[in-house]
Amino acid sequence: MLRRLFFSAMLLALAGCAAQSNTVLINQKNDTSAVGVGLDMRDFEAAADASVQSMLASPAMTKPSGGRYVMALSRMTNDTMQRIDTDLLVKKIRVDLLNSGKVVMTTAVGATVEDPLAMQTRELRGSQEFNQAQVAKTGQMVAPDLSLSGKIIQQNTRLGDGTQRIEYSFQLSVTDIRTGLAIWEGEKPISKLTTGAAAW
Amino acid sequence: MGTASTNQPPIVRKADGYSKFDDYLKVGDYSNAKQFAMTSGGVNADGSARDLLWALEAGAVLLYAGDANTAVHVLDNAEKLMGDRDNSTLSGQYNYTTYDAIMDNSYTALAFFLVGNFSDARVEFNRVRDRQARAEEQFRKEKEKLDQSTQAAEKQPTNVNLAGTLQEALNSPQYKDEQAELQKYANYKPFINPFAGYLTGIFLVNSAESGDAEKARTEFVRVRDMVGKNPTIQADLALSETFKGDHKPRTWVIFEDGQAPILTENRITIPVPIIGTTNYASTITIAFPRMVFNPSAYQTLIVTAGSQRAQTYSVGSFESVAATEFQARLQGIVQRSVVEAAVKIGIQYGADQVKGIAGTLLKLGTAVVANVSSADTRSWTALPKDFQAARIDTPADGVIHVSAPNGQELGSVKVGADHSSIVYVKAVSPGGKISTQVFSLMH
Repeated sequence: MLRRLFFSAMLLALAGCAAQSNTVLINQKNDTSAVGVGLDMRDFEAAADASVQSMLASPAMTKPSGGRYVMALSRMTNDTMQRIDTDLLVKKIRVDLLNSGKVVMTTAVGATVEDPLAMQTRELRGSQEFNQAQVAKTGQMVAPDLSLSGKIIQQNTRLGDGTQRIEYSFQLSVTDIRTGLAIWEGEKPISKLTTGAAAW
Repeated sequence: MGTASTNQPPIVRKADGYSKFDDYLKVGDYSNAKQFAMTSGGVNADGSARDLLWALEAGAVLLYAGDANTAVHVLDNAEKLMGDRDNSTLSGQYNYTTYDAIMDNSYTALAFFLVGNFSDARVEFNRVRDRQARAEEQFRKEKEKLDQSTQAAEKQPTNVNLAGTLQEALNSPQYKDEQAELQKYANYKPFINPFAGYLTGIFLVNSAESGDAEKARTEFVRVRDMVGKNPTIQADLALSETFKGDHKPRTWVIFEDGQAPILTENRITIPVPIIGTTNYASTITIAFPRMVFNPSAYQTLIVTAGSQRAQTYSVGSFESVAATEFQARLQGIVQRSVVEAAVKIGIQYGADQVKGIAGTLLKLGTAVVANVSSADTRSWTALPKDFQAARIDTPADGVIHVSAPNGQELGSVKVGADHSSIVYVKAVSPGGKISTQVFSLMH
């Protein structure tokens, strides 16, 4: 009897907890939840989609000799008032570029090396602990042809009616590393209007 | 946040805990100052806090003590409490000033320097720029709101002349004296802190990002226009104009001199005139804050490294920043107090007139004086009187010496010889101990 009462009480307590909060799964393709002044996944996806479509439509991104360009990630500057991880933008671009079959990314070099292990495993050369036949030989890594760099900028404009226009600009450049020339550049603006005072 | 549960210790009001906290600051004992602020304000290491002002104090001393990660958490939460206060979702908290908010972001940027997170430091500098851009508009809105509430009060059937009462307050010798004293310091553009711009300039001139040197130049020009020409700002301005992305190691010595102005209470007793007559309903006593300025710790510091010698010059008088904003807000503070007190007495006066009660005027005056609330004299006292700076080339051995103007060596510090750095020096009390902190500027 006591045991049954205990479980009943537990169930009631759990039901009480469940009633206090409500969590639903968001459909990413039809996300109509509230918009904040900052940047969220929808903004990153919109910016990445627009950038990749423009990039892939450019003839400059097709290698004349066939095959794929090797691209390294250069600096991605966050010049906004939001603390954001620029990887949210970059990762989506990388995935889409890789899927396009025109570009392959290197994770071994870049402004920040995404996978330092590729280089660190070279230190195993000569180690008797490792089968040297399986250790990467010199001259195996592929140097990048292109680098991707960018900047996210935020500008706030206070309007006469007391509202504030917050404009984000996603600016990306692809540079031919051999010549130092930018072979593609793109910009995707995202604007928001808010009645709030702070823009972060 | 913002509400105390029954098993939590009570928040220590800043005024009550001021002396002890101040004593720790004066001797550079940031460990005890930090502990005291955190305990007094219910501030936790994850940044959560029950009191905004103590969170600001704790954030500052955590930075001075070099605990960057906790400083970021605490200052971040202080910023959130400010937002909650703005959105009226939090009551009873310290009525923070624009310069408090700007210093919160500036100190957060410095804390990010300490942990090498320059990306988020840039975000903080952008927030500073935005705060300064919208401060005047926010102030105008606050003033409009106050004027509207005054007009609404004037429509009440109290018979007292609110505008006349306010004029009596503004014409009082105490108010005029306070304004005259403020005028000696309030010589900046309101709501702009040149030091925040200077720090932004140092950040930008050390960045390899395209366009940053030009932005740094803009910041240094603004600082020069506010503080006047001096060798430090002229040299930094020249650097931003000629900067070609070289990575020559340079060292900026930033000196936080003395302690920020504090607030004490000022009281005036003024008559409350009755509309359409030359009579007065009674007198009221109102309380409002008075800004008191503190002495320098060292008027300037001498920086030496090898054969190099430089002197620190002001890049932002914080007492001028505080005085300018306080002067802009003072009339509003007095206006609010006058309206509140005069309406109370007017309502009572009107009621007594209807009842035909005689001889109540003296009684009324006494009662209102007893009901006058005290002025809010809280302020962020860990901040300095003045921000100064000097720049030298980083010496090969990385050793920087800091001396008082009379030649007495106050301390030395070692910076990385292969990159630029900021040596952050703080001295609170006259002739007192200095504390130093090194911020690396490796982007």
